[in-house]
Amino acid sequence: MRKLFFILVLTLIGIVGWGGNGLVEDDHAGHGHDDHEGHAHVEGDDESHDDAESDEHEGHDHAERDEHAGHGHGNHADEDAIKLAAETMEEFGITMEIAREGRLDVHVTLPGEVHINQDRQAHIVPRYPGLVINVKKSIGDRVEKGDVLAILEGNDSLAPYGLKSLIDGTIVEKHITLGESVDDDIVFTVADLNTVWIDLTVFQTDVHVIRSGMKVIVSGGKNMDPVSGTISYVSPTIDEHTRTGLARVVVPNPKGIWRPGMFVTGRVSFRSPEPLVLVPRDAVISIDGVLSVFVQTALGLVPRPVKLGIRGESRVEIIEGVQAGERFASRNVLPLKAEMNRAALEHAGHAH
Amino acid sequence: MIERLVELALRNRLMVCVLAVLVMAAGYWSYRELPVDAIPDVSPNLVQVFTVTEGLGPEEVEKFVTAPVEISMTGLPGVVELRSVSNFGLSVVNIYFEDGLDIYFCRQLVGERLGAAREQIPPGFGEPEMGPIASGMGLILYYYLEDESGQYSLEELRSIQDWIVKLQLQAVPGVTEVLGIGGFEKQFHVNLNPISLLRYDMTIHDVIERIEANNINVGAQFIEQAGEQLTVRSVGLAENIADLELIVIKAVGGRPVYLSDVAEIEIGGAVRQGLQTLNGGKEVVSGMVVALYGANASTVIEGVEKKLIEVEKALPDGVKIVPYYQQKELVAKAVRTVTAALIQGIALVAVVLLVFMGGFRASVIVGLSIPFSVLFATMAMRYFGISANLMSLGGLAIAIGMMVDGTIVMVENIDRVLRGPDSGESKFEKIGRACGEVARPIVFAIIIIIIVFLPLFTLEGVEGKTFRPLAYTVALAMFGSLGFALLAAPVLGALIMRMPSKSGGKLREPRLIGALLRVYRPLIRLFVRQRWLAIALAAIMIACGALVLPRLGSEFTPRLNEGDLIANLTMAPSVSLAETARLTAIAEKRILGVPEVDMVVSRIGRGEVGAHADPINAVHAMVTLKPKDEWSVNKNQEEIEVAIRDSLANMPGVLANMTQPIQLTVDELVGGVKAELAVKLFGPDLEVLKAKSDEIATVLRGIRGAADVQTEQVIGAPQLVIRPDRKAIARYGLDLGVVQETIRTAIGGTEAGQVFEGTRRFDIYVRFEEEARNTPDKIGRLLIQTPDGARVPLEQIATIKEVVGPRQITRENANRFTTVQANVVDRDIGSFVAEAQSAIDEEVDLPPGYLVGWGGQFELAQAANRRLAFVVPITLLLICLLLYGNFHSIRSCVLILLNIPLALVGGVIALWLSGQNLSVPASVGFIALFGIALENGMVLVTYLNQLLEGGTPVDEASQQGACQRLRPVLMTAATTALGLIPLLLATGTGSEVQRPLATVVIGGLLTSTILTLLVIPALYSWFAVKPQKAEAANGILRP
Repeated sequence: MRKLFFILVLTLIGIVGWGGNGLVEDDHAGHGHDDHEGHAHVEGDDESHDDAESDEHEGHDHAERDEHAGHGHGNHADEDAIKLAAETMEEFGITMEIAREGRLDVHVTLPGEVHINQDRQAHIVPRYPGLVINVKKSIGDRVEKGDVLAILEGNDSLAPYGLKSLIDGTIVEKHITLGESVDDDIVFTVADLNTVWIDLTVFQTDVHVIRSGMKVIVSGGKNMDPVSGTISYVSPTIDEHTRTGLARVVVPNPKGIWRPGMFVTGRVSFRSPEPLVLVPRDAVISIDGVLSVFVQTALGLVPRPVKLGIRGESRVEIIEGVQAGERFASRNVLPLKAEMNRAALEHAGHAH
Repeated sequence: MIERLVELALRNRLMVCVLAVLVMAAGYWSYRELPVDAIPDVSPNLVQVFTVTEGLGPEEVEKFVTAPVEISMTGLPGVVELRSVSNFGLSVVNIYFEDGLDIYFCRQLVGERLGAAREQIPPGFGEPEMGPIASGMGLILYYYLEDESGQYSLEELRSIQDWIVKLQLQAVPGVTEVLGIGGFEKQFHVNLNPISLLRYDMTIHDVIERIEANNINVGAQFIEQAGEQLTVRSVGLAENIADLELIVIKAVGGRPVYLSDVAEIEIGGAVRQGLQTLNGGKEVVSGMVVALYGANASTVIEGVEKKLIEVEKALPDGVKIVPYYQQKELVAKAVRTVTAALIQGIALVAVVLLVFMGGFRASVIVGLSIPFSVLFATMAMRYFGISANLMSLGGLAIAIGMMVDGTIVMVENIDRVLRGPDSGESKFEKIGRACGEVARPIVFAIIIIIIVFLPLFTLEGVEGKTFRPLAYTVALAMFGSLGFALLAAPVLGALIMRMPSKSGGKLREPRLIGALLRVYRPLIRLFVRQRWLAIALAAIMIACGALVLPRLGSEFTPRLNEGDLIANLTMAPSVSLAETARLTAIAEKRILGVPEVDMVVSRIGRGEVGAHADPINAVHAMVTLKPKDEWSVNKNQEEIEVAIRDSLANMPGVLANMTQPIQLTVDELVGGVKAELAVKLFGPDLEVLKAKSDEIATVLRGIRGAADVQTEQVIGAPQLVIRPDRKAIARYGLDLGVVQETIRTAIGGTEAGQVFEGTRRFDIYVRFEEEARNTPDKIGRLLIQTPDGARVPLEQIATIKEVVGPRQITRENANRFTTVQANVVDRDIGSFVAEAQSAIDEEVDLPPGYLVGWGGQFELAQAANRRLAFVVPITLLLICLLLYGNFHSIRSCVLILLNIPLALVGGVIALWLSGQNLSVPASVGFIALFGIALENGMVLVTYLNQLLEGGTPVDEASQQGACQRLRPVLMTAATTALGLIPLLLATGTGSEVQRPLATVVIGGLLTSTILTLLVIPALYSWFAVKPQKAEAANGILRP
């Protein structure tokens, strides 16, 4: 666009020029042209010189060329290094840390349900079929071992006999009504609710990590204090219907707040058995799809591709890429990534 | 014919006077009524279609929203180009129409097609809507809400903005929209606990349904009672959190399950794509007022200001509205700059008149021509709808000196004839004769000046819109001056000017002219005798010009300093809003470190859609400066800019560049590429586009002359892609739709009705509580309920991957593309393009379906050149025809055209000496210069021809004529030059645009006047019309 007026001006001069002053146009245009041409010539010379040189190289030494290329690459990596003043790092909140080995706590949250502790429950079944003539306890009543729950009259003997609780506990089921004729069905279920089972649903993806002995914190939602326990049993099979496994935690329930049937979550925690190289999650950033950590080198901060292992809540395991003892940027690393791209951009800009 | 017109005027003196007064009165009234802008509106003729699609990634936005809108817009009449950007959650389609089409017509066309587009967009993917009826100049006022009491939350402040301030301001006539940004739009958040949902065996969908069903008012007709009619209403709208909490979502065995059993309900902010910070990171709520297209900015601003005072009273105690950008200041400053220049110019011209005319009465007549011409121009401006702005008023300022020229010549001739030997004619007869002598050349000279500006009318794009108003006003003012010179000047001459008394009948020349003549007379004698001297002089000057010309830098229009600065910050494309805000706070603190900076208000991302569609990695930091007298370290805007730029240097992860408010908006609207050359790669696959455009960039860098080669950043926004595994889903008997619906509502959330607080409406927004969805891991563990009651974590039925996705998808005429842009230095762009084209054809292997297109500024330049190649010769032809029409002699025409090169030389040298560049306004200066130079030449040659016809020998006529015409030539040159001096020296807002123009004209006038006075008389004999020796003259013509 800016040339357009230049051209306008020239055209005017040119067109006017025929009127006896042709010299103006020629002189001027000649100048401009010469200038450009001269310039082009010099540069062209340089280029052809270069070409000739590289031809020579190609002719006699391939290895050198490769080395050259390799070197070039190395240079590129050097240029990727980011150098920042300490004040700038502080201003931008970029902190440095030294990678240390440590054990990693990992958590998995699983849904679950409160079940009666089946090791602590008793089914009360009439010894003989008979008629119910007295029901002494009702559902929810606390009973002690030996307490008579109901009195039946045997069909054969017509003699009354008492149904006694087999354990201390709470009546959780009752299928008996006065005057009813009962057979050998379960008429009472007495459960000791001082402990309950928390049956956690283990999803296919977690089956390999959940083991018995792992600590679990069970919570039942708001207004309920969580309770902790240990996985005592992991089912060896997967339910073919729901495709889930089962992990069981026995938790104490002295106040009876964990009621069977309740929906709960269990947070399973385990600690990595061996010490691992750990970095904060925030230190890991994806650069062109490659997870990387900015590591301090003699040249500055260099992005190093890493392979992650176990991911904890705040820290992650580095399998490959960062060694213990290395200094790396641990927080607010995004500016570093952006800076890297800019360096590349500016570098490219100067390349011509 | 022209003579008869003058006679007619002389006969109807009263009529002419009344008419003149009427015109001036009308002009003054028009001036008061003229719309006032800072600068001409250079925005393109554009209709924007915005579609907000909450939560959708760029690919989906493109596929489901942008494409249907584009398809429905194809084939509209007058559409020049269709460009679109599909961003995260937002689709913007820009439909560029031909310039000159009525904006309402264009909007109507678009509106009609939008209906079709709506049908094509899947339900729930947003409603396409047209942007505000505004241009790039429409953002007239920005403000933020200051809470001095400190007791209002950002949600509350935003509600104040949205429901009080905005509604009030939108009622101001001429305001089309008020767009809010910052703070949080208040919402009622229903944060579902996924475990609780499982506990009660409910899905998120059930909950939404229940909320919607439990939040309505209904009407039930009426009943009659005792002769009265009672309307029956059932009021069931939720009014607050408590109401929402008590919504029953399920009943289990008679026990109700309340919403509060499965969710926390709280007041929160809507998901946002932008915010606004102030002075180092404090978040504020702010708004911008958009003026209606074509509205008179100054009136609207006035209205808004009045309203602001009213609104402030209605705000809660302690909340204030603080405007931080007002276009009116720019308007006022710009207009002040030009009007000051206008008035000073008029004063200077008046002084020149007094000095040269040597007569008060004559000076008054000439002086009157200025107000008349200016007011005539303002009257016409109003009629043609041209606003008063820097450029149009600048045109008047430029024309001041030229307006008087016609009248000067006229009055001078009247003066001369009146003083001349007593021929026994009456005063009127004398005046009639005097006017008749010069009327024709005056008409032709003025028309030539107008025609010279013709090429300006053919400029297109931003330059065209910028400089066309100037060309218009110059032309209008010249027409006015023509009318005055032909009609009013003779009448006024007849009324005011006196016949010299018989006693003092001696020709009495002003002293200055006498002194000048004493120097000039021997000089001209020398030149006429030694013609080679004249030729040498001309040749030397032209050689100087030719030497200097290549040294001139060239630039676009020099930038108009708007007085406010914007620092554009660009962060990494992957950045989050919070991180942008953090980095912006750092940048703001740094900017505040520059002592002249008063305040920094940054807009991050976008607020309410309508004016900007910036992604969250874009920050516009508005920098307000302290008053000029408090500037301590940096003395002018350029220095301050440099200081700010320096302060923002070496910010890791932040790219900064400086711009200005209006400039920014216009640039955004114009879009396209700012670089000289743009290689556009069209094709379907973004990855391929990126890879190939990188290759193209590499090739371009290898070509000599390439500079600033850049590829567009199309990719770089991280995405979490959840790809359901169809086999796994089948295994669980799930429905893909159910899975995705869960993903959408659980993670993204969805609206489930509204809560009404009086007339204010706030959305109820349902989604999972944050802890359940804030990391990829947690998203992977979202439980999906299978039809047979089992629950599967998402990761078991879908792959969840973090990938790098497109930041945005840009399309042109419905094709995806990326650009590689470059500038070309030290080389002709045409050959560069040719070389680059063949290199790319050879080295870059494009898959089928990929196309390379070439564009950029060079394309525009080529188009403009083609146009000019047509227009300039026509202009010259017209000028030649006019000259010929006046002189009936090709030789005289050629002699006059000779003025042009010498005038150019002066302009070029003046530019060089003042260190300015060849720019568009400089070129406008050159154009004006042609006109003036031609006019001067005409005045002289006409007189020489008249002398020659009177029988004076050629050499004698040359000398005598030159001496007698010294006064008018010097006067017209001096008035023009002095009229521009204020523009040359002005330092106010807008002066930087006019300065090159003034420089060129003043410099050019110096050289062209020398030429007119020395070279033309010297060469005259070669070009003189000698009817008696026509054959011989022909022989001389061929040296």
